[in-house]
Formats: sequence, C-alpha cells, structure tokens
Amino acid sequence: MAWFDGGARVGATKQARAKFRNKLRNLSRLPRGQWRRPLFDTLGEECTGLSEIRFDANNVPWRPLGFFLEIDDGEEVFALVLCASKDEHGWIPRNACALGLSRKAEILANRTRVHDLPIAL
Amino acid sequence: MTYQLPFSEDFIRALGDDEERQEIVADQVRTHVAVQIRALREQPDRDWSQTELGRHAHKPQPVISRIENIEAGNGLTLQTLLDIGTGFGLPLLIEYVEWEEWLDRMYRNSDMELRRRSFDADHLTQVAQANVAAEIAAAHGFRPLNLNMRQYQSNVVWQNDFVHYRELFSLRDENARLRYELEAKDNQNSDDVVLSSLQNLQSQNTRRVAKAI
Repeated sequence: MAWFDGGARVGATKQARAKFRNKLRNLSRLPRGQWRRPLFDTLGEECTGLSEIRFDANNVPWRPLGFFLEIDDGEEVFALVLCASKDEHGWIPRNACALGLSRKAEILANRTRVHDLPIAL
Repeated sequence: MTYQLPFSEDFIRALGDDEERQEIVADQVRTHVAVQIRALREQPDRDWSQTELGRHAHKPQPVISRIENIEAGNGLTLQTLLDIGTGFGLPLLIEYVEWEEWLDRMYRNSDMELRRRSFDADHLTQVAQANVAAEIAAAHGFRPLNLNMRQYQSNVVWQNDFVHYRELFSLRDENARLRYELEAKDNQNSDDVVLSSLQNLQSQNTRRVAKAI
C-alpha cells in the first residue's frame, strides 16, 4: 500500500501511519455491527456503496475508503480501495468517490485484485 | 497476570519507534475514552442521547458530541471526565500500567466489554457478602478450588441474571487464591458445600434484571 509505505512523500506522515495502524487495530477487534463513528462511517450520496475509516493526522482529515467484501465462507473482510482525505472544498482527490467505486467494481469483477494488507496489528 | 488479546511481534516492533509509540498511545487513549462514553451512553439500561448524558453530567450536548469525537479530545480535562463519570454514576480510574496490560485493556472496545453498572449499593452489598462467604469457606478448610469456571458461570453469575466479566474474573482470581492457600487440605465434599452456600447466598439476594447480552 503505497500511501502507508511510501512515507511523507506520498501523504502518510509518521503520525498518519501510526493513527491508521491504530484505527485498524481497533476495528479488527470489533464485530462488524460496531464499525461506526467515531472510528468508521458508512457513506451516502455520491459515495454510496463505500465506507470510510476516520482519523485526523497533522490537521488533515484522512478518510481511507473501502467496502465489505464477502469472501469464501460467507465471512466479510473490509477491502480498502483508496486512501482519500478531505479539505475545505471536499474530497482529495476530488473524484475520490468515483475512483473508489470504480475500484470496488473492478475488485468485484476480479477478486484476485485484492490482497492482504501487510500492516502489523 | 495473563492477558487475553494477542498483539503481533511486528506491532511491538512498530512501537519501538518513539514517535510512532507516542502517537499510538495518545490516539488510543482518546479513542478508548470516546468509544467508551458512547458505549456507556447507549448501554441498553441507559439508552441515553447525547443531550440526556449532558443533562446528567451538567454539560451542553455539543460538549458531549465533542468528547465523543476522538480528534476533538485534545482539550479534554480531568474535571470533564470526572463530570461525565458523575453523570453515569461511575468512578474514574486513571493510572500508569505495564505495557502488556495497556495493550490488552485499551483495545477492549466492544459494546459488551465497555458496559459498566452505575453505583448500586445492593450489588456492592452482594459482592461484600460473596467475599465473606469465600472467607468463611476458607476458614473452614473448604476447597472451592475445584469449582470450575463453568460451575461459577452457571451457578453464581448466570443464575443471578447479570453478566459482568470483571465479576467473573474476580471470582476466578479468588478461586486461584484459595487454591494456593488451601492446596494441602483435602475434603471430598467441600465443593458441594461451598457451591450450596453460594447458591443460598445468591437466592437471598434480590434478583437483578440487567440483561448484559
């Protein structure tokens, strides 16, 4: 995951990495029904079909986007599609929702496109 | 003491970075506070809105909303936490702990793990009585040590219509203490006697109806 591994050059400062890891560690220990604010939210409007993990780092509201993907035995995993953020004008990138949804469609059409996230929790 | 939740070696390696460790600790303390306040507020026997909690804690609703927002927790004061505790009828515990304990307790954030009972004199009286019963059992050389967890669950905790993990653990710890102290004693019938005593003690107490799950 370039955003997480690439350092500040591509967006993830050390604070952002630490907070992202910590949010994932929290969510990974909660039943799906308890994935909700303040850690997580299900999106509507142009982002309908996507959910976001919520955290701020260095005054940037990061919103990694993803969706619940059913795997073999009916179990669901949260598939991340984009590490978006927000500013006063909206999403960064501006087409975050469309991009996220297109990646979701791509994954649903070809599940080999997803892989385990190599982040230690 | 052993801890229940696993943490990977790689995660511990990440904590080796001073800056990342500080960020994770600060973030998790805020997360734990925010998530617990929401969980306590929405606990089935309360089911309070933010406004209702505000009324109990003498805070306006926007303050409660800000407290439940992790990122807004930077200015949270000890007095505010005490006020929220007063609103819930709960005591506040702040202490520095060992890392393994912190890594275990701070990530127990499911609704069930965060439920807490408001001050309840009847319940605390029950706990005091149970302690007395255990001491009496020990003084008489009984061996409650062979009462396993299943028996405790079915006969002491579950039968009493409430579930509280801490209580369960304290019973288990008490059992371990008695096992240590009374290991040398051997009374084949003592388990039944102690179990019966505990059941009698429970039946004398008011039945509780806090459905934990």
